[in-house]
Order: sequence, then structure tokens, then C-alpha cells
Amino acid sequence: MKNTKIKIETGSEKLTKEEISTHKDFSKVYKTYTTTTTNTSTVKTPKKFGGMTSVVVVTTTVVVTTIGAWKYWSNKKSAEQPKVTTSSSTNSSSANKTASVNKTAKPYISPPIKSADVPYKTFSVDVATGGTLTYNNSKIVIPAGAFCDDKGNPIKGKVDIKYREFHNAIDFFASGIPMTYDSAGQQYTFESAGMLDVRGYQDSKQVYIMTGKEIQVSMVSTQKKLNYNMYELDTVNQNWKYLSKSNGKVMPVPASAKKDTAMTAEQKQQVQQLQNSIVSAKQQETQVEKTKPVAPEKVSKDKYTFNIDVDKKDYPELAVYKNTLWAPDASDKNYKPEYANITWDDASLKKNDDGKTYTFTVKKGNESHSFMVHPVFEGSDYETAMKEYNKKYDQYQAARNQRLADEQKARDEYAAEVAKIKQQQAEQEARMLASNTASAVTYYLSINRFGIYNTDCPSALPHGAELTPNYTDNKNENLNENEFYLVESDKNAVYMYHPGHDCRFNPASRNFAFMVTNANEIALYSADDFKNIHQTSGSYNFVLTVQKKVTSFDDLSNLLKPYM
Amino acid sequence: MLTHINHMMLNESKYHVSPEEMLSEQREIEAAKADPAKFETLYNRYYEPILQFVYKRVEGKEAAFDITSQVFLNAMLKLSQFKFMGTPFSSWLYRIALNEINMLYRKDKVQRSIKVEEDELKSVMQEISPEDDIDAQYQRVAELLSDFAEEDIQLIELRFFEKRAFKEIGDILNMTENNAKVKLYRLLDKLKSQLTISKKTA
Repeated sequence: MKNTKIKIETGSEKLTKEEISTHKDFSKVYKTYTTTTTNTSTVKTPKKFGGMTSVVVVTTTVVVTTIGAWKYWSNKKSAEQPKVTTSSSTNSSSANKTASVNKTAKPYISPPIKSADVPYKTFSVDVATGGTLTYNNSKIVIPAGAFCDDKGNPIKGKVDIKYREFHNAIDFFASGIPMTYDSAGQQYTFESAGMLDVRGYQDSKQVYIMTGKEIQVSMVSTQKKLNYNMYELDTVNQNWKYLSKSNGKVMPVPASAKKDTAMTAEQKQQVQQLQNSIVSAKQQETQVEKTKPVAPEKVSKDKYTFNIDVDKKDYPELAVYKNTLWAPDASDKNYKPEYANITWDDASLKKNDDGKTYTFTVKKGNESHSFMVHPVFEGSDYETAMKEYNKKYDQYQAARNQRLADEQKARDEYAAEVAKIKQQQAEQEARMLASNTASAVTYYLSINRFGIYNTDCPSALPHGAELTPNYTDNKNENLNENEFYLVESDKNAVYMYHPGHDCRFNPASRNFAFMVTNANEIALYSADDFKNIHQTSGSYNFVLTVQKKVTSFDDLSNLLKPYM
Repeated sequence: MLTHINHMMLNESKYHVSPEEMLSEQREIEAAKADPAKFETLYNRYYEPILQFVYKRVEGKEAAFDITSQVFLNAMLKLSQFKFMGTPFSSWLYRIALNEINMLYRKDKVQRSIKVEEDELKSVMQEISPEDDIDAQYQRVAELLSDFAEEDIQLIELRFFEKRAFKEIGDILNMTENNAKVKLYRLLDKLKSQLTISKKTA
């Protein structure tokens, strides 16, 4: 494997004899060793079921498992107050607890608040056909005939696939899945790019993946780094098994992230208003065109004309003319000259939609005729009509120009607003792509055994401050028998400190911590609380603020998210 | 192919542990398994060598002290798994130390560093290109080594900068003595050809 460039230094400062002898202190290593080893006493009894294994953990006495990623670091003088090392030890805050505290043995995977565990999503899959399942942006592809019973016999019918993912400190905490990794005898806490848990059941009985079959999972993570490894949780040996380097690939921004760059409600409203303005301006066209006057026509000696006694109130457009004559429209062949010789019982006039012609209907007995006519003028009436026409045409032209200007303005405003929004969206998307949460990395896993898989990199405990803690809440309740969960803002991990162990954190980071009280309440130690710690060693009283009892994962998530 | 490498170190490695010493040490290890407090003897013997080993590979004294403490803690925690296979106990400790150091590079993205004396670089130069002006050219070796892969640089460090025997290098890197030799020959061939190219392009 090719590394990045190596720094080769010549003439470096040597370690002095004094420095070496100062740090050479077996008593401290020995003390740490006894702290780490004497607290744990577990008997593991693995029990195999086909391709899967489960584990029964029997504890014989006080169970204080080795702290996640706990290392020996202390440079403190040996004369300092020794660390509180077991839950049966006494310290200043728990002096009343002098005897051993027998706790119920916890399973290897133990959600701190059972009712707030990360929920599974259940899919029904036909074994014969397999299927593709979607969980948020992740895809789980199940091949046909993928499942068998505990004896390896193929099974038929529907299978329930239970699936869940864990992507942030809240998920890791809620699940109770151990997030420590042992390497060369040292434990590290996993900094995760995402973890998944997949199970299969038929009629509530566990099923197994057939030999030779694999479930393909493409898990979408929002962690942008690609230097993660793949691990599988071995519940028998109670550790994570390294599988391979991760094969994460950066993918385009998923739809769920892109939705954040969609228009806001306010932007949508603004765009809608501008669209309405265009429609409104367009609608005016019909009204304006209706006002377009028809040029008056002179009486032609070659055409028939006739008088119609018209009520000018019904036809205001004719009111300005003194004597209006009517001529049959040239396009209408229904008119016959002999109609002029008939005295009709009834006659009616109706303006046509073209605004230029009228339908003239005459009736006598059962005989009825309709034909198109238009007004014609002669003499001074024509001159009057022309003047009126010119006046109306100017008005029409002005109205038309105004309408066109209004429409163009509305279109320009709309285009400008859309361009502005698009620019904002592009900027927002660029910001999101540059941030950890926007760009997505897809990790591809081939799973031949149900269980828990993760993409993580081991991370040592934070360093900078190491305090011997005394945990209480703001009701003065002792919390020294409970785990302390530390979250560093730039690490996607939860550092869990078991009772009796020092609390290490990096004062330069934004830290936040919490504990679960015996009443399943969450007690918080905020980032501001951490800022108020002005020491990096020695004893310290952590006073956590009790929030509320948590009864579901959503409860927990809603409570902790604002502090993350 | 370099043929003269076996003549490089005529003197016995200063890290050499005789069979008698190993046997005696094995008794101490068994005693420490029975009573961890007795690990102190081993701790006192190997604290400084391990510290120096670590310090040569990490930046900063504090980091070296921390990692060294961790190495001994891990050794105590894993001591029950240690089985005497004819390999010095110290090789086991160095292997734990290398794991710790590698973890530091991997997880904290700390830049790999090597503390080396000029004479040690010159010894590499002497080995691959004795006819050159070593004083004028040895810096080129440093430049070329800075691009080496981790598993390759470890061999160079152990052999040239710490002057360890191939047997011990094999024990630390979990490979046979012969394999360690073959790999180092190839590395030196590679380094020599790179040095030739480097001189031509300079």
C-alpha cells in the first residue's frame, strides 16, 4: 500500500535520560491494567443455529465492561488520587455505596432505553422472486430463492425482512450496538459512515441466507470521507470482524437532499403571483380586441341596402350614426333581392361575435330567413362614421399597446424572479455539496449472513483533558453508576465512559454529553457546560441537567438533535 | 541485483538475544502471566528500547510516551496469549508498537515521520551506490525514501536505521528471515534504479 509522503527528519532532538526515567513508571501501567481487567467477569456460551449464532452472556458479579476505547494515557503523578475503577468502589459522591452493586447482566447488544431503540422497517418479500427494497435512499436487492431454514432447507412463500440503518450519534446510542473495536489489545471507538442491521423471518421464525446467495445492499451515507473499513458484528466473540476496505463511491446529491434546494413556499407564492399577472395581461387581449372598431363602409350603388328600425339603446355602437343603412354581407348567399318586396311580420337583429356583422332574421307565418348584414353609410353619415371610427381606433390602439406593455412587463418580472430563484438554488446546492450532509457516498455490501454491518474507522478517545468525574444531576441524584455518553461535533461517534472511568475530552472541540437516569430520563451536559470546565486534569463535578423521560426513538431524537 | 548486502553488518545486532537469555526471559514471562505485578521486570528492561523505537516513528515526545505506555498495557492484557516460539519477547513488543503507530497514522491522519541520523542515510547510500559521492548524494536517498510505501520503509528502518538482524526483522514484521532478505534486496534494487534516474534528471 502506497502511503502519503513520509517526513524524514535528520538531527532531531533526542530523548533525555531524565525524560525517559520520568515517564518510566510501571506502577501506573499496572494500576491501569488492574482497573481494566478486574472489573469484567463474563462467561460466554455460544450457541449455534445454522448460519447464525447467538450468545448467552452470564455475568458472575458486577458487570462493568471495559470502557470503549479506553487507553492508558495518564501522565499524572502516582501520588494523585487513584482512579475510581469499579462500580463497587467508593468515591466521594457514592460513599454510601460501600458494598458491591449487583446489576442485571446486559445482553451484548443492549439499547440504553429499550423503548427508544432504532425501529426496523419491515418488508415482505416473496422468496421465489426476490425483490428490491428501498430504505430512505438505500437499496437492498434480494435474489430469488435466497432463504433457507435453520437446517439449510430452501423455504417458500413470503419472508419478512427487517431492516434499519444507523447514521449518527443518536442512532448509535439508541441502538445499544457496541461501537468499540479491538486492535492489538486496544479498544477504539468507531467513527461511523453508517451501519445497517438486516434480519429475516418467516412466521416469526428466523430464516437464513442460502449458501451461495448474497443480498446486495447499497447504503447511502452522508459522511463524505472515504477512508472507512467494512466490519461485521460477531455476536459470539463479541467483537467486530474486519471485512475489507470500504468501497464507498461519491454519488450525486440524493433526491432527499435536493429537496432542500427546492423553492420555498414564499418563492413559490411569488412565482405564482407573477404567472397570474401574465395570464391576466393575456386575458385583457380579448377585451381590448372587442373594442377594435370596424371601419365604416360607404353605400355602394351595386349592392342592396335597406333600413332597419333599430333601438339604439340595444346597439350603442350605432347610436352615433343618424341614419344607418344595412347591406347584406357579400359572404352570405342566403339573401335574395325579392325579400325586399315582402312585408315581414317580424324582424330581429343580433350582433355577431366577429363584432363587424349582424344576423338579421325576418319572419312571416312559417317562413323565416336569417342572413348576415353590416351597416353602411352615405353622405355626411359616412363622414361622421369615419370620424367616430378614427377616434375609437386610436383608443383601441392605445389600449392594445398598453395591454401588450403590461404583458411584457409581467413576463419580464416572471423571468427575472425565476432566474433569481434558480441562482439561489444553484448557490444553495453548491453549499450543500461542499458540506458533509449534502454529498452522498454509497457503500456497497454483499451480505451472505443476516446481522449487523458497518462502515467505520476506529478512533481513539479524545484527548486534551482527562478528569476523574463525579456525576450528579441537577436534582442532586448520583449518576456515578451510569454510563456517560460524549459526542464531539466533528466526529460521527459516541464515546461511552463506563462508571468508574475517567472522562476524556478535547477542550478544543465542541463537546456535548448525556446520561440516562434510572428513570429513563435524559440528563444533559451541554456544550456551554463543557466550555465552563477550566481544568484538564484532577477531579471534577459534572452536574447534568435532567430533561425528560424518553419513551420512543422519535422522543429521543427530538430531544437530542438540537444539541448535536 | 545487489550481492554484497550480507557483508553490510558484520557485527552482531545490538538487539540480539541469546537462547539462554530467551529461556531466562521465558521464565519471567510465565511468572508475569501468573502474577502481572512481575511484569515489571520486563517493563523495566524494554521500556527504553520501545520508547526509542516509537519516538523514531512519531512526531512529538508526548505522543511517544503515550504510545509506549499503551504498548505495555496491551502487552500485559495480551500476555496470556503470548506463546514462546523461539522468538524474543522484544519482537512481540515491537510488533505491538508497530500496530499502535500504524493505528495513529491511519486514524488520526498523522503524517508518517522518521527520525534518522545522517550517517544512517549515508549507510543506505553506501549500500546501493558506493561509488558515488556519498556526502553529496545522500540527501537524494532521503527524498526517494519519503515516497516509499509503509511496508517498504519499515524494512529500511529496521535494517539500516536500527541495524537489526534479518531474523529479528522477520520476527517483528511476521515474515521469514529469508523473505525479509529478499524483500530488502528488491527494495535496494528499486532504490538504486530510482537514484540513477534521479541523478540523470537532476
